[in-house]
Order: sequence, then structure tokens, then C-alpha cells
Amino acid sequence: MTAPPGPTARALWRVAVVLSAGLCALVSALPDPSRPVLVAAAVSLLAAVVAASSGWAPAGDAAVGLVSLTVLLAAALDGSGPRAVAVVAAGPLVLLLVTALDRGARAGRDVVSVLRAPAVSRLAPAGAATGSAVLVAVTAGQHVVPSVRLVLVGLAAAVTALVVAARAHRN
Amino acid sequence: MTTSAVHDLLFVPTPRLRRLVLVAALSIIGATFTAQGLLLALAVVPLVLLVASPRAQLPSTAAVETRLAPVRCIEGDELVLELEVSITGSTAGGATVAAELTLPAKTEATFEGPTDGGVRTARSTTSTTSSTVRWRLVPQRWGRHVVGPVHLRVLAGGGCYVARLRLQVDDIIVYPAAAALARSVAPRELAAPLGEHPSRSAGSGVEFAGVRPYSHGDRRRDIDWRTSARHGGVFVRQYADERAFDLVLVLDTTVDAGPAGQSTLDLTVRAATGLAQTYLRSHDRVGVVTFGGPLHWLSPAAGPLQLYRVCEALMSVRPDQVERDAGSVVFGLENLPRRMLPSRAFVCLVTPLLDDRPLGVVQLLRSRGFSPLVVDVLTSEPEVARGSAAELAVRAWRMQREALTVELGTLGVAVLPWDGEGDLTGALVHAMRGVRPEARR
Repeated sequence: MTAPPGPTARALWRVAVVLSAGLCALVSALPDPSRPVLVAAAVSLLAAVVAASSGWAPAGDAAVGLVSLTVLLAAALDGSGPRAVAVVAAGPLVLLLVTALDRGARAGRDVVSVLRAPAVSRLAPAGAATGSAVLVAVTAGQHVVPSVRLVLVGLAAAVTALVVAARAHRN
Repeated sequence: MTTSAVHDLLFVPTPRLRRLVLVAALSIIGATFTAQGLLLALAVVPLVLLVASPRAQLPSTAAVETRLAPVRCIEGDELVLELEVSITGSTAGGATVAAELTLPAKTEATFEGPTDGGVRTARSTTSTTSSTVRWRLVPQRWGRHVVGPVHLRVLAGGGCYVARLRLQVDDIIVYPAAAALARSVAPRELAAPLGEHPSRSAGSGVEFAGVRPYSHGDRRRDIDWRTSARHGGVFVRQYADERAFDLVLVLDTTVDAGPAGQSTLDLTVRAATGLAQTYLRSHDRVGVVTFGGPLHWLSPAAGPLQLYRVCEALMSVRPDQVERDAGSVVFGLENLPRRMLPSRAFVCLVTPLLDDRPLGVVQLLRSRGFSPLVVDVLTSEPEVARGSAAELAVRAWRMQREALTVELGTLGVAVLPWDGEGDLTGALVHAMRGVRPEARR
């Protein structure tokens, strides 16, 4: 086959896995490099390397989970303004990690593209998701008087979003 | 050859769906336990993606058409395989289709990409997205091959769902490339009438053969007036009779040695194809006998149809283990019907001379009065490390081959080494000079 070069594409996506996981750990650790966050970042990076080199699906799941936990741990330990930016930046990076794991597993030697979805339909959901993450981060950064009712409303909204997303993918 | 079918798409979740749910769930659990709304910002990204591509809106069907042409070709010819895929469903425009083509061995393929760039048509409730891609295939080795299957992977729902299809394409028949022959040559003594080769006997051909005194019944237009004036009598011109030629190709298919594409069997079938093609064009009769296991034969016949018969027979000569373990070659050839080896036929034995069986065949043919030409098609030797014990074995094997060649020479049989590139005509001329028709029974 002349196009596309399967092994090269697979290698590039593997590099993308490690880079996205590394960047995710980096933006999480940079604002306040505490010891637990650094340990979590190192472990998640190691998991990403294993997932990229082995191509094993459970290793990919573990890498995604550990990278997410690193971001969440860093955000939980430090609630400053730069941390909000780091969480928002981590969203697209986690998405890139998931995409790179997916593409790296699919890229075969003789696999050719017959039909591609238009770029708009591929990128629009990711753009909308990033915009929503910015909105949520800005909202969460507002100075309000903490109350049980507010926490409950926030949790209810999150659980409702999860339920709606789950129902959309039910058989 | 065109194959078309409409397939229902059965989608299954991909790891991407699982991972997006994992990120969202971890973020929500983290936000719940730490009571920090900021953590929900990470959950929003996968949640929006999941909501944007619900399962209910996945494409429903895929219409796939494969076109492969031609299905019969010669080594090195180009085939075109076209694959047209049409995806139908409410969100067909967001589907991504990838294909993986399984190729026969020794076949080069060039992917040319979508020929139409992907055509999308939308209706009120459903939309159809179609695309056609093309491969150019160049099979490099003769035989019957299977092209495909093509594995199609349809990704939809933002990459969260995948449907897989397995499509059969078609079988192709790749005929061997013919060996080069500048012209068809034949012995001067020919038996079969109505051919194109000038014979030694006088007849009604067009090739001048001499003059003789006029006798009653000769045509007036054959009178050679110049000779008649010079000698004071009436002389007529004589022409060589044009007769056909019986060629029997005896093929040794016992082993297949050497690199693929230039192996002994590859050269054997190419030589046989070239000889058959050249002589059948001259309206000669060509027959094929293969040995090395069970005996197969194709009686000599003329005409374009016989070329197809020969080619089809050559498609089946690749020996399998059963054939290699089968009985003695001499036993088989002794049972060959008499009509397979007509009187005055010219026999060409194509063999790698790797054992004593060709010698037995030649002895048998000589006992029946034939003077065969042996074409040696072995072009490679076993590769062994210098100075090893195997090198000694290779030297002994080389000497054994030389002894076999010498022994064939003592029987009056010419051995022509052929590497698949040279012209066989000169060797045929040389071999046919040695034909002794009076010795035949």
C-alpha cells in the first residue's frame, strides 16, 4: 500500500499518547507541585508509556483513569485561580489522550480510509465541550456563600448530566 | 466481476466510550467527595461528547459494492479493485469508514484513495454518505489467488461505536508470463498435414524447394521457363509441403526449488506457456504431460482453445505433499496412452534435474524413439556457510548434477540451461537437428 503509512501513523499516535499524558500531568503539577501530585503524575505517565507501547486496552483504561485522578487530586489540593486554568486545559488533553489511544490501537499496516467525517462534525463537539468546561470553571470560581442547598443543586446537576449521557447510550 | 450487498450495521461500543464514561464518573465522584465544583469542569468534556452522539442516531445500513476487473490476467498485469461504500442513517454524515484489504502473496497494491471525494446526500429524515476508493493490484506470481476479504470498519457516534463488516471480493486467475521465442521452429520431417512449417517433402506450400522435369498432370503455372530454356526441356518448380508439428511438453513438477517468482516451477510453467503459445499460433498441435506424482496429461491438439486448456492445466501443476509422495515417474509415463506421444512428435522435457527421475524419463522416451530436448530450469543453489560441512554436500550435489547432464549427453540428448530470460528458439533449432525420425517406432 502506498497510503497511509500504517506503522508510521501508529508510532505517531503512540507518541501522542505519551505526550498528552505528560502534558496533562505537567499542567496539573505546575501551579503547586506537591508531593502527592508529583507521585500521581509519575505513575500516570508510566501507565501512559505502558499503554502506548503495549496497545493493551486495559492499560489504556488505567492510563486514562490515572491521568484523570492526577488532575482531580491536584485540583482538590489547590483551589487557586491558576488551578482552574489547569483543570480547563487538562480537559482537551484528556480528550486527546483518549483519541490517541483509540487511533494507536486502530492504525494497522494496510488500513486505508474510505470515508471520513467532515472536520466540522469531528471538531465541533470537542470545541463545545471545551467551552462548557470553561463555563463550569468560571461558575465554580465565583465567590458565593457556601450552603447545603447550593452544593445539592450542583451535585444534582452533575448526576443529571451523567444520567442523561448514560441514557443516550443505552440499548 | 461485481459484488454488491446491503448490510445491517451492528454497532458495539469502543474503548473510547468506556474511557469517556470513566473520566466523567471519576470527576463527579471527586467533586462529590471534595465538594469542589471546579472538578466538574473535567467531567463536562466527556459528558458533552457523550450527549452529542447518542446511540439512537447511529447509521443503520451500509451498501457495499466491489468491482474487480479483469479476473484473468498474466503475471505483471494490472487489476483494478473498486470499493463503493454507502452509509445510510440519520447521522450518516458523521461516520468514518476504514478498509483493510487482504492481498494474495506476491501481489503489489497501490491505494488511490477516494475517486469522488465522498458524496453526501441528505433527505428529510435520513442521509446517505457514499465514497468510492480504488486499488491497483499487480499480481507477480501465477496461480489461482483469492483477493480479499476486505474488512470494513464503520465508526460512528463520535468514535464511540464501531461496526465491522467482512466482504468477500473474488478469485483471480493469473496466467504465467510466456517465455520468449522469436519464432516457431520445427524438424524437417513432419507427419501431421495442414500446418505452417515447410516440410522436406514436396507439396503445395509457398516455400521454393527445387525444380524437376515436367510430368503429366503438373500445372502449367508451375513451369519454370528460365530453367526450361537453359536446359532445353520443360521443368516445373517444386514447393515444400506445409505441415503441422506435434509438440509434447513433459513437465517435471516433483519439486519447487528456488526463490518465489523465480523458482523451478515458475520457470517450468513460463517455458511451457511460451512454447505452447508460439506453436499453437502456428497451428501446431501441443500436448502437456506433467509428472512428479500422479500423472496428468493433455492430449495434443491445435487451436486457440487448446491454449486455454494448456494454461488451465498449468494452473494445477504446483505439487502438494500427496503428489510428492505418490508413485514412480517411470511407472506413470509407461502407462501414458500412445496417442499422447504421436509418432514424430517433438518432446521437450522441462526439469530442474534435481534427481534421477528425468534420466528415467529420457531413457523411456529414447526407447520409444523420441529425441527430447531437456530444458534445465534450476537457477539457484542452496546457500550454505563457507567452510561448513554443508558446503561439501553442495559440492557433491553439484557434481551429481554434472554427472546427470553428462549421462544425458551420452544418450544424445541436448540439455539447455534456461534462466527465464533468454530466447529458447536457438536451442530448439539445435535440438531439432538431432531428431532422427527413422529411429522411431
